[in-house]
Amino acid sequence: MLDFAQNTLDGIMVGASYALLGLGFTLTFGVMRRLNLSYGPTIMMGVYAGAYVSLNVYGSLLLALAIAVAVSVIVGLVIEGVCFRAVQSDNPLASMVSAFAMWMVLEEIIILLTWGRLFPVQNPSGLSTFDIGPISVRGDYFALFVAAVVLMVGIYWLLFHTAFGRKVRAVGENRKSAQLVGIDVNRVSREIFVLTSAFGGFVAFFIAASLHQITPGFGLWATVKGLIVMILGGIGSVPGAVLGGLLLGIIELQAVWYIGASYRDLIAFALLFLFLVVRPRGLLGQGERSS
Amino acid sequence: MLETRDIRVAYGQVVAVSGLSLRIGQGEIVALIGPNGAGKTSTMMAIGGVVPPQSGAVLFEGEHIEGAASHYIYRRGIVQVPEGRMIFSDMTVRENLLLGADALTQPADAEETLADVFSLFPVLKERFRSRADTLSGGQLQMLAIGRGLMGRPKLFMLDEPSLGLAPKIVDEVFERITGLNDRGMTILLVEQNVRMALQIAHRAYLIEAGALIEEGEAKELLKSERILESYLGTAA
Repeated sequence: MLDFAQNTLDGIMVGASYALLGLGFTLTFGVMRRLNLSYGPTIMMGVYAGAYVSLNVYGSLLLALAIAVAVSVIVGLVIEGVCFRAVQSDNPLASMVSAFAMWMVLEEIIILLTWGRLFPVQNPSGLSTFDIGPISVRGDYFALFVAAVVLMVGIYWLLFHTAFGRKVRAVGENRKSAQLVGIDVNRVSREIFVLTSAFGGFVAFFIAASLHQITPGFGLWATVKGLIVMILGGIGSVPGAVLGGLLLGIIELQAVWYIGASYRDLIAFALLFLFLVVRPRGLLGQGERSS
Repeated sequence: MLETRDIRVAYGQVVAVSGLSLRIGQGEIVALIGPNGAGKTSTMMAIGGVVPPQSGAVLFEGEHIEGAASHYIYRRGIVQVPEGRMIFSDMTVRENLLLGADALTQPADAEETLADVFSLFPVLKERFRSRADTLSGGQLQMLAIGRGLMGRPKLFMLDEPSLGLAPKIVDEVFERITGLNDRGMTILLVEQNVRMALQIAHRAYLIEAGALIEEGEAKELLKSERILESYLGTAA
């Protein structure tokens, strides 16, 4: 029972970061109606840049975070321009494939620059493990959790209490109606790339810190986690992404404890498969809309 | 105020408007009438920049806007209330109204405009915090018009505002449209309810299959044989 509670707590903390990866996908999909497969690699570039600077130039973790966010945003804008704006096909596959190609390019760039070696990433919070009663809390997970919650509150506020958020939701609900109220849909698309890349780069740095390192496989890892969370929660649903992230985190960490660490991803895919068969619209998805 | 010169609108191979020229003067209500599929909505979409015309010119206050982006045209003061209202049903009445002003360069005046909209449509104030999908058809139309007004239009284009509404509500909506015009707003009204449209309009254009058939003073057109026969169902 105690193990179960411990795993659940760890799962919630890790799941909060999954939730943000899912939000990155779901928000981009909501606005663009396109899947940005290179979201994971985008934020991976940010983490590499931040970790590189803090290792080799100046060892400030705050600076590393700032660089991670800045580089993620720049890469995100490049992807928006190259894979989405320049690819004006009505077929959603076109930009999906170009985003996939961009993913490969980014991964190769990292492999060439780092020779495929691991890159250590330090925990920006510096917190070590502490105990609350019989439960122990990993410092890096706790920092990750706090960062994720702060970001989620910020994103919620942006989406539901600002003019920017109204525009994003308007475009998500109906592009044409949004155009008819004078919204510059392309501009909102660019802004959503800036937003998702920024919070993605931020949380990815904490995720990498909790893994102590980053590898060229991080892009794939983040894209897969984000996609699974988006589908679990229901495509386009913001609260769904949060719930989906937590669910995935809890189930993964239970599986690591009771079945074995090497089954972690297998369980995640099994969960995805189960949802696709039993509840394809996800936890809070609305299914197809008519208009 | 607004002039279209020989505009042509097509969706792929399908030509919706072929060479239409209209003029709308400052302070006028101009009705654009015609049967389903005549190209009325396409004309509006072309003026608003949502579906840019393939050829021809659109002049607004002397400025060529035929190639401009729809959000630019909106900010310039051409606002449309689309057919079917296209309200954001996941949002509240409040959010829908504010969205009308969000794209403006100075949305700070939104409070003032909002008060104005409330005085025209008190029901929107009562339902301010409700989700839009809980509104009745008439209330939705008022919300759509209110949202358009939040964009501070100089030229207000309304597409089928009477569609699907009870006759009493239609009267109310048309009364509001006349009221807006009395305050100096220029209005382009697209309607299938030809009799009502011609009763409140100053001038009207009758189009069929994307081309102009008749134009003139609304009062004259009410007596036109062609319109009487085809649209008002009373042979002269």
